[in-house]
Amino acid sequence: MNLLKDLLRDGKFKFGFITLCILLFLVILSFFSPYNPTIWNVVPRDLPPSIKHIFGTNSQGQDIFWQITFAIRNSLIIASIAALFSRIIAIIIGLVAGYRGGRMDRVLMSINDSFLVLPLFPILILISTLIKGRLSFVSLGLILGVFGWSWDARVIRSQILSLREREFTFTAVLSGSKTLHLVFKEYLPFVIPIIFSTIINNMSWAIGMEITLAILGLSNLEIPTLGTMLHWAISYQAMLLGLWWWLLTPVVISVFLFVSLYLLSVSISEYLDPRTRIQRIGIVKE
Amino acid sequence: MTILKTENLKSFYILDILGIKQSVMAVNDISIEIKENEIYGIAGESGCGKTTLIKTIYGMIEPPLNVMDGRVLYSIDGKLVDIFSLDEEELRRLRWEYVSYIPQGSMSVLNPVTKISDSFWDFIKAHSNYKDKLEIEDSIKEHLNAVGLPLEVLNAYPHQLSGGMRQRVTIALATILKPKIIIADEPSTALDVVAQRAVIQLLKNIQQTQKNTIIIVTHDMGVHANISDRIAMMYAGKIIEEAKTEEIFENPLHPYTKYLIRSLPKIGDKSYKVSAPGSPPSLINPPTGCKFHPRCDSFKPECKKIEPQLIEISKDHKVACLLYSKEMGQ
Amino acid sequence: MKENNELLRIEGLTKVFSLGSVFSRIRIVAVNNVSFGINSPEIFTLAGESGSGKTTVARIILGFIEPTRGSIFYRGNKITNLKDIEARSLFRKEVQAIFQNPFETFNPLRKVNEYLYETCWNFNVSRNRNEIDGIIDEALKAVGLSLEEVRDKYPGEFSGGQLQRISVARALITKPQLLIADEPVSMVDASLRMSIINLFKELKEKNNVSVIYITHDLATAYYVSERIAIMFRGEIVETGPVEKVLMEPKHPYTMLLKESIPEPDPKMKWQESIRLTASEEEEYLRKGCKFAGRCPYVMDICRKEAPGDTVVDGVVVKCYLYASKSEKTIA
Repeated sequence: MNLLKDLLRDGKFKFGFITLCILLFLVILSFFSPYNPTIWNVVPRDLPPSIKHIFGTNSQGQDIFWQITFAIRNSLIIASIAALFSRIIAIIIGLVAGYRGGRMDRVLMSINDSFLVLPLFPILILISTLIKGRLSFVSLGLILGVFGWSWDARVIRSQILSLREREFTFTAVLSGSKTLHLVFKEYLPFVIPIIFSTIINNMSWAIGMEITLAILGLSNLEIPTLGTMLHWAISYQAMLLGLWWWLLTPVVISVFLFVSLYLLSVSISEYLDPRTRIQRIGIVKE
Repeated sequence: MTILKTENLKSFYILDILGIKQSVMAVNDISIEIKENEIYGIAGESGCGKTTLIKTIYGMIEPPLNVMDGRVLYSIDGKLVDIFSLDEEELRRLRWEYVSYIPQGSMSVLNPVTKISDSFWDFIKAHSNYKDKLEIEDSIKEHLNAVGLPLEVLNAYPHQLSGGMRQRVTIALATILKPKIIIADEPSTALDVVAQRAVIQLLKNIQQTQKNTIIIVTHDMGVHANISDRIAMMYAGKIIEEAKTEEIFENPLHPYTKYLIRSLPKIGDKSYKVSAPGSPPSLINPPTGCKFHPRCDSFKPECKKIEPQLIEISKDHKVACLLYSKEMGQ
Repeated sequence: MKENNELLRIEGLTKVFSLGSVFSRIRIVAVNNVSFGINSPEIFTLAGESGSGKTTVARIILGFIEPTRGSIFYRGNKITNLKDIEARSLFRKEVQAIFQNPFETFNPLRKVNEYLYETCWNFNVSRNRNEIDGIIDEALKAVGLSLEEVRDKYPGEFSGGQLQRISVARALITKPQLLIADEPVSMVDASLRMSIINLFKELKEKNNVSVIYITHDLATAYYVSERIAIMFRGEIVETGPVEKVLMEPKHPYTMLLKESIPEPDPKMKWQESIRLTASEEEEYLRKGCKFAGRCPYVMDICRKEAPGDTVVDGVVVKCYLYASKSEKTIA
């Protein structure tokens, strides 16, 4: 499509996009995995990378290559759920508080600020410790989502507040627009770049959180995710035993994942920024 | 005595959006001569290139602005100096001591967290050799008195002053070192009519006292009528007419100038006024030949092909229009 | 009772803005007891510099700001604090507006014709696609443009003059009875202004539309309107026929305004210097006549008490200079 072509002109987007495509390809491969990732000892242990086992095997007798396909898939699912859930909350609260103002705004912002100042990490540790064994990755995603919206809700709200004062709001009212229509047709195009760049940032944050929790041993360690792989590698002291492939694989994959998400986020939000969009409008026509 | 001149000056904005290069031809082959002890007005509408012209004259060339061709020459101590041949230090010294620049919207140039007196103080210290504190204070007070500003403003913060007062303070700041050339870009445009009058009168006073040159850029013909000695009309990056102020108003020659002068409303005059048809052209893709031809009612086929040169038709009255160059047999 | 063809009447309109923090609040009376009426059809100018309150008055009339006190009557019906949604909608249909900055009037990320469509649709001017196209084209032709030129384009692709004309076209779709134009040409190039100003004249003469022309440019006000009210720091200081007020100004502020206009005529340069105010806020908070600080004819009483309205020679003035010479004094 035209959109993709435009975006691909940006070097940052190209790199991020290609990397992500490769990672997504690995995710698709996970559906064809010959091994069940939760079962141990399906292959010989501690084998270095070879043609049969591309990334080698670990001390639990699992093929690392197939493990990682599941790990990427699950980490991305957690991150996507967290990001989506928190965006929805942020948009609703930001839009309503910004446009309505008054009492509604004050109430919503108090709730918002309470969430902002909550010490996130200790709470997550607490929750994880309490429900450790039974925390499915969907629930983890939802919980991360519940804690990730407050910053963006404020940002969206300020954007709406400034848009409300602009003259085209008056023009829209004079054209007979009703409130809902006003907010969605007039303001949303300005709010979307914020949402997009924060969606991807949020995903990175969620993945990071998941990895941290897993390394500390606080999440469900049976499910293969980037974090749990790292956890097992560390607890089995892979480094000391010379099983570098076990530790390196999730680390390198994580780095690629973070970098590609970052590049995508930066290039997309630059593309969607109203100021550059306005500049582009004239050019494309001529 | 010429104090400043440009020779075939061309400066464009080179834009690069999404890999597509475009040139905004804001200053397109301009040659003007500005004399000592005069107020030279540059008139024209938004987007005609006047701000770019004076930025180039002042040497403020920052990407995406590029000087494509031509020279800007200042007459300093009897010698002609090409401003683009100076290095940074020499340029810096040239500015504010020899030529000072009052940009558009300059009311916001004052540091909002310091008092006015401190702004003056910092400025003088940075640009001159005065060491004695008392000497500096005296010179500030003297200058404010000379320009008619109340000394109380020295103790105020910028936000406490009205827009008109801030603008006058900025002008006082720009002229305290008695520069030979003052370039003012739309000095009164954002102000109310009464404040505007005060600002324009201030500039006039300064020019009469210090006997220097003021280059004033504004689209407001009323302001030009009040202050400028000579006016240069700019259209689409070119100078299309240049003459003494009275000449421009009483005997405009270029069709655009004619349209403009005749459409200006005046109190006491209820006769029907007409605007020029169409709109100003794009500077990226201007019309061929004479840039005004799509809107001109004296249009002839040659106007599309030939670009008229700025030619002196009568004493001190130059026009760039084929109607007149034909008569001259050129 | 009100006259039959009085379209709009403003009575005692006041708006107070409260600024500052919990510890020190300043009350700025942006609009102070403003009253005037508009006939049908008529072009009425509300003139004043920035900070005079004229834009605030416009916004109150349009219902974007609630007044602190006072009432507005449209066709004899009270419209301030109007709760009835249908009546509001009818009001919006008949009273439209255009604003100063043509580049801000439309959302830069939306196509301009979408506003035209919406105006047609929302006010039930038509719900038939083809008919709507026709109506929009007609409105655009009336301002010198056409639907083809405007279709599917964004605001960034037009010049200021064109955008302002499209703004007028949009306002005319509902066939309003009253158009409020807030500084409609101050950001338009001088060579294009008259075409828009002439439009207002045409609207009044051919379509019987009244216009409230808000501006600081007295020259265009003289050209286009019949009556004018001069506003200073929230109050109307002089009202009357434009010939009288602008050719023989009575209030010292009107005199100052008129003298300060840069005449586009080199033979008429300014002669005397004038005094500027150092701080605008100070004038707002002044007791007595707000202009006393700069008035060349100031008297003791001016500083103590605010003058009332006096009628002199068909013009209403707020100035003690005329209090004794009046034909009739309104307290």
